[in-house]
Amino acid sequence: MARLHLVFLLILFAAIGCRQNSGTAPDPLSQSWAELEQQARGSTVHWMMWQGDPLINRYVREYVAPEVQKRYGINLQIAPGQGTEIVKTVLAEQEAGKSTSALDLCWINGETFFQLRQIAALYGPFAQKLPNAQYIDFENPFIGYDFQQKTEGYECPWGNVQLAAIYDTVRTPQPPRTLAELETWIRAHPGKFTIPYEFTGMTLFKSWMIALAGDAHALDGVFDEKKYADLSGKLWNFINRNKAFFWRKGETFPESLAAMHQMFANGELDFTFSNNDNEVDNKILQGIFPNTARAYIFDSGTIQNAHFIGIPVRSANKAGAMLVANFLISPEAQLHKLSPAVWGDGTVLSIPKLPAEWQERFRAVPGRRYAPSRDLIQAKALREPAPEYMIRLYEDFRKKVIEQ
Amino acid sequence: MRSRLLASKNLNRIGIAVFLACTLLPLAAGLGYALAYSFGLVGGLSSGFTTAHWASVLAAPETWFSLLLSAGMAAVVVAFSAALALAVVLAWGDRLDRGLPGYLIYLPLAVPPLTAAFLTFQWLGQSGMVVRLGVALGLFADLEHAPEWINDRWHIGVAATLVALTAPFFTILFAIPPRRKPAATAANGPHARGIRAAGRLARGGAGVVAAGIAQPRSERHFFIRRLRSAPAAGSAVAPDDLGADRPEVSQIQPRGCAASVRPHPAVRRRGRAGGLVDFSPHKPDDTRMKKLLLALFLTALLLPFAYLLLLSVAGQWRYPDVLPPVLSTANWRLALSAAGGIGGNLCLSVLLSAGVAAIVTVGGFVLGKIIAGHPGRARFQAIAYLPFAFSPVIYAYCLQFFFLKADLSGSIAGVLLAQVLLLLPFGILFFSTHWDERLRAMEQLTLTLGGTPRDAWRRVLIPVSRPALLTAFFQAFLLSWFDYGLTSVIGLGQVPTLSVMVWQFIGEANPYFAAIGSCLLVFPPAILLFINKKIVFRG
Repeated sequence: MARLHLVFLLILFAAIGCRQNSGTAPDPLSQSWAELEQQARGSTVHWMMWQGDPLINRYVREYVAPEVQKRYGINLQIAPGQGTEIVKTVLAEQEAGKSTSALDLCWINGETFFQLRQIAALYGPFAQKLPNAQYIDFENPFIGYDFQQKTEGYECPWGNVQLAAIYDTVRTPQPPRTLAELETWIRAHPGKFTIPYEFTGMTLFKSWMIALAGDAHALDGVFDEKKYADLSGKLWNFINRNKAFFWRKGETFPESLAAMHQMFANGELDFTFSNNDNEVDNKILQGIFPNTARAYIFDSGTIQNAHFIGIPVRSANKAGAMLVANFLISPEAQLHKLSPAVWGDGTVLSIPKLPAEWQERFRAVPGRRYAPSRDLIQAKALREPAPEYMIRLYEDFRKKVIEQ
Repeated sequence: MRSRLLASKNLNRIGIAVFLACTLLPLAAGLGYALAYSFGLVGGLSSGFTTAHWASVLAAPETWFSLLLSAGMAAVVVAFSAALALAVVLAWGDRLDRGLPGYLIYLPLAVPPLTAAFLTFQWLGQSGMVVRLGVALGLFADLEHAPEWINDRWHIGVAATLVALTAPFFTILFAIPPRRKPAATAANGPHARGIRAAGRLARGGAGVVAAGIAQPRSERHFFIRRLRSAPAAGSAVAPDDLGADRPEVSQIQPRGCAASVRPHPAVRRRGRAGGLVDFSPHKPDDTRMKKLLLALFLTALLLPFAYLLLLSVAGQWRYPDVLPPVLSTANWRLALSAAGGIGGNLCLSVLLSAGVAAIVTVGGFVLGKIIAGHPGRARFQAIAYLPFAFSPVIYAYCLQFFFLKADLSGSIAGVLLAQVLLLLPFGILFFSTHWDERLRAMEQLTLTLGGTPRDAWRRVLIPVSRPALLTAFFQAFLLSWFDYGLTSVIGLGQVPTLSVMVWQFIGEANPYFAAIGSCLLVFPPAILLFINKKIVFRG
């Protein structure tokens, strides 16, 4: 009897396992924009995005979602997730043989773009088909490329940011501006400095590797093992010789930027970092940082990059996802997002390409109060190196610093 | 009569099939898939059979370090928690089921691990509340001279959080005596195993709460006295603790009986001979110091709740402020507004957990009866324990492939099913010990006296089992309510329960919203605990 039970149950599970989906929606690339609008009306778009900032979340929930509902009748559903979570989800769906994904849209950066492209999980080329893409300068190396990779229309730029250090003018009136000054400062203020062991920390490392090379273009091009070995060796040497003066004597590093922000706000640390040069403004507006906090860029420069929107190749609602993506790069959505009180995210639109009235409105955006102006830091913007640098830095930081 | 027997047999067969489908099958399928994946036999990145992944993991020093750290941490946490719980039971055990203390002692079980970790960070961080108080009181010169308890070399913060989660479980475990059954079966019998299963499920927390509450007061008193010393003359003694087979003992009326009973001489001898250490100073218990310490202890139990409430209405509360400079309801108004969305998360959590708890309670009650009366009962109970060997998040990853295949990922139905698969074995174990000979005899008696099976269920079995049903419902509700890992993996982030949102707020470096989410997460179970206690006692 027990055997009969097992046979019955195995058949049941096998039936579940063999279930296949069938997706027969026409390819949006072959349809007109009007057809896409008609097709997507009343549909739901599932967007997986990093939800680590309340202002960003509010922008999406309170501005983007109602707008796309009003304009296209699209119900925008947000799910938290980033980087490896997105890759894991779409890979698991591929492995399960699903023809449709639970995701229609995802917010990604170069590292995730690289991984998704390797498993052919991104749909495209869709970016240039978006009507608002006409305002984007895809030849701009900070917009049209992602971690040195040509995006080729498989993701659409959404925002542009630059890594910045954040300090408190009361506690640190003269922040260090070079690596040499930073070393002196760290030794003079033991326990007040650390690096987050996550995306922003690794981006900081890339900026420092370029600073150690003494050439802003040192890491341009494809991944170079020799260059990596040389520059990362210098970087680990710099960190290891100073880490005794780091927070917790460099025996441990915060794994979340949120925790680091909180430690900075409480005075436990004198510096925190952000991958958004304007984050200091919105954190002060939220009451999380004191209003004496400021952001600045090291003299040797920091990485500037764009963040992107991608559509999984198995998305069941590519038309809806494209409509949302098009709205996200519309002048009105980009302008709204640019305001420090809303988010303070840099635009991906090329101002000269915009109609005259929009050019005026972009120029009239209220300036940043606590972050340096974009014009000022643009000269110190460094290009993102190839994604392999990031992947190797994660691994080697653990092996050559944390476990040393 | 014959057709009724046949129908009953068929129902039992279906019940066993459902039991296997909900326990053994998902586990075997999930583990099988995970093993095949680890050997490169399946998966999108598969390139044929390989042992490389296993070799790489086993060769990594971090693997062994993690294993050692986990084992060491577990040993330290269990030792500290047990010692702490023992001290509490010895000091105030006889008061812990009366009035306010009897309620407050269970309160820590309403705090999920996620909130406990958040509180640890807020309190023990270098700029946290403990250091702020220390600086304000002059114990530390400043922040730089404060001790390091978070991310420290000895993992004090992690250990403290785990002790805070585990100690309440031990406290209740120590306060629960064996049931009125022969002593030999009570220690290792199914009831004890059920309690242990509940405890394991709750990961050192909520699983035994209602079981503890449900214990008759006199039995707990007796057990506590046994821990402290031999029972005093004149105390009511539960017969099983002395051996129900002894005629002089079995005469004693248990629970609530006004009769004064002189304990068995053997027990008095044990007490005097020190077989059980006599900690009692034989003085009146109500010394002023003891009362004060009890009051302090109970205040400490309320502290997390008070702190969460305060943080939720605070603003710009930074080091070195001991109290928030700004108090406002703005955070709550924003969080509960349509844009904040927490109200929706709360409703979703309530409905999901209530649904899971209802299915687990009803399913566990019915299947528990079938398992309890089956000749292979021991084997089936062993199978029901298997899912507890996995943490919910690992279990979820094992099942994810099949949920994706069945189009259940990313949906409320999928999360509900996954939670039911995880918790139904708990319900089955719980009720398979509940369906004892007495209950079955009551059912038989009803049928013999002319009642229909429906009458037996409606008029006898369900009313008699009401406290157990409420207990099971409450425990299952709590376990579902607190779940984060399984919900986020199977839900793909698209099932935003309250625990998922609390995690998000913590990730946003937004302690005020995290506190609001935590309040909504801990207060409903705390209130349910209160209601449940009253109902169970009344039952």
